Amino acid sequence: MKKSEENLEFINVEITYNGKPVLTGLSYNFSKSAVTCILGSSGSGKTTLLRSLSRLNDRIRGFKVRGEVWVAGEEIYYNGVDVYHLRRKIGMIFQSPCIFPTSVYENVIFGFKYHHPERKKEFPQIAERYLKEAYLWDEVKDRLQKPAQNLSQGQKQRLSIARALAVEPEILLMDEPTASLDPVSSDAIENLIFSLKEKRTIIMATHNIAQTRRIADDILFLYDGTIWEQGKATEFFERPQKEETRIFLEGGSSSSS
Amino acid sequence: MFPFIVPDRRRNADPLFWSTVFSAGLVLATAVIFSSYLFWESLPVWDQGLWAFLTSVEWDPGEDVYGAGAMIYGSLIVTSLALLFALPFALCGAITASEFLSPRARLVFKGAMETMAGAPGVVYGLLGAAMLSLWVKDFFGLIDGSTLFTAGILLGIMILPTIMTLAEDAIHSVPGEYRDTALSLGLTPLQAFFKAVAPRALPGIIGAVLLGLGRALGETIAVMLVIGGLDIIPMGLDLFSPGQNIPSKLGREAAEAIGSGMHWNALIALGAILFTGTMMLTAAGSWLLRRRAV
Ligand SMILES: Nc1ncnc2c1ncn2[C@@H]1O[C@H](COP(=O)(O)OP(=O)(O)OP(=O)(O)O)[C@@H](O)[C@H]1O
Ligand SMILES: [Mg+2]
Repeated sequence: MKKSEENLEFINVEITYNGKPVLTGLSYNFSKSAVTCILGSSGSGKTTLLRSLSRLNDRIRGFKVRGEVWVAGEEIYYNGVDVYHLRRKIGMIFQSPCIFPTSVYENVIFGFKYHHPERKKEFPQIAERYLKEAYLWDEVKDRLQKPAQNLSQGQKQRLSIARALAVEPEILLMDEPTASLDPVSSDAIENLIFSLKEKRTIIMATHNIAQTRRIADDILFLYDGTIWEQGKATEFFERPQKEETRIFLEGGSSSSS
Repeated sequence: MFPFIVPDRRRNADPLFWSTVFSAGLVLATAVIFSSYLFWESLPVWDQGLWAFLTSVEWDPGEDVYGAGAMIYGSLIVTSLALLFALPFALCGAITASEFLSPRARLVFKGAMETMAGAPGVVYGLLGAAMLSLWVKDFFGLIDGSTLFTAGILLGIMILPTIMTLAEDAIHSVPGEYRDTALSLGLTPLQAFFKAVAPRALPGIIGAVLLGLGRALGETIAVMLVIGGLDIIPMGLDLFSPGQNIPSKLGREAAEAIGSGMHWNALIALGAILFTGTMMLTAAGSWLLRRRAV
């Protein structure tokens, strides 16, 4: 079976840690060039779902995926899939930005440099282009060669986004990208996500319901180890179908907005 | 009264506090007394000419002629050989253990390394004399297997587990996010290690190497058993010649020389040189280890 290049889909997937299922019966086809938010309480499997899409959990013993996971026209758990090629198509942003102990410049081009060592002449342009795309250029253009560790937390998160973008992924996974940021930095990231979705498919895990209202196109609500409810964001918020969803939305909006 | 003690604990401090301060002071005092003694007792030798003592190869207690050249040379050669031999294995082992072994296999491996690292020098010395020096003799067709080379390899084997396990700690303590981030950018696990993990672990790895070197520099008995015990600087960097390093010289002559004038002073002077060397290594090591916190 062959799927189109842009396909991103779970077909009847079950994910287990040491035989204990965390997510079961996952079937979902993500819309492209849109922001899909994954909602769910702590421990509901948001991180697990995201990491399974780029096979980042391969090294964890006892982690197992059954069913089909399709990314860009390939079933990624099928034997012989080139994981390193896959991960270039699917970038990941983590909750707390992990910045390498070098300069801002070296951080941005880290992945690009590794994949295209021969395109040395383009490095400065690449750095500028993606720092601009991550709305960070104006703040760091005078300190490109300074240690990136000195940036603020919000700047670091945007730097890690620029670094992921520089590998030119079609899909961007974000695991609570604003959870460790103040409201102003959060807003900056939200605006950034808005501008990114024109060209890329974005899947974002979050606890923050107010934020989800602002930026989500589609919603997946994880509950009880499965996709409890799904749909367009507007419908989801206006007419949640299930009792548990309503409780989650009410509980969440009182605490996080 | 004691401005260097944390101020608000000065009054009403409990006795336990004062006993800790006392113990700390005791350690400090011991260190000061210890090093002053070394340098004081070796003064008569320095007076005769520092440079001559450091470079001359003559060592004849009968004539009261003392030169440390052969021993200093031996120490440098043997320690460098040990490092050259141990470093590649230690680093490969550390990387494998931290990055590619399952948690259980890693623990078994670490346990074995720590046991080896803790084994006393004399045990290594016995095995070295019984096996290594015979192998060296047969393999290179020598008359005698006790050489600088043998001592260097034996020391390399001794410090290998120390360096490996400490370097492994440094590598393993780099947070998993560094690996995840590099992997998510499409790097292979080995490349993720070199590009993202190693730079973070480097100060700790250097610290591990320096601590291993310190052990190699000071090890006495194991070296005594295999180095040959000849106070010479062999022609043309010949590693397969017997030699002498500072600890093995001290080990051989200390007992007969205690308190006997210049001979004793000269041995103490050797000790002072060794002490300075290990002190510099320790200082460099702790400086680098402290930088890791950044
Ligand atoms: N390495 C692991 N080994 C075993 N179980 C794990 C592992 N990682 C996660 N789990 C379990 O899988 C479940 C889902 O975890 P996951 O991290 O995906 O939740 P989450 O929705 O991201 O939570 P949070 O909002 O707190 O980040 C949890 O019950 C967790 O205990
Ligand atoms: Mg999570």
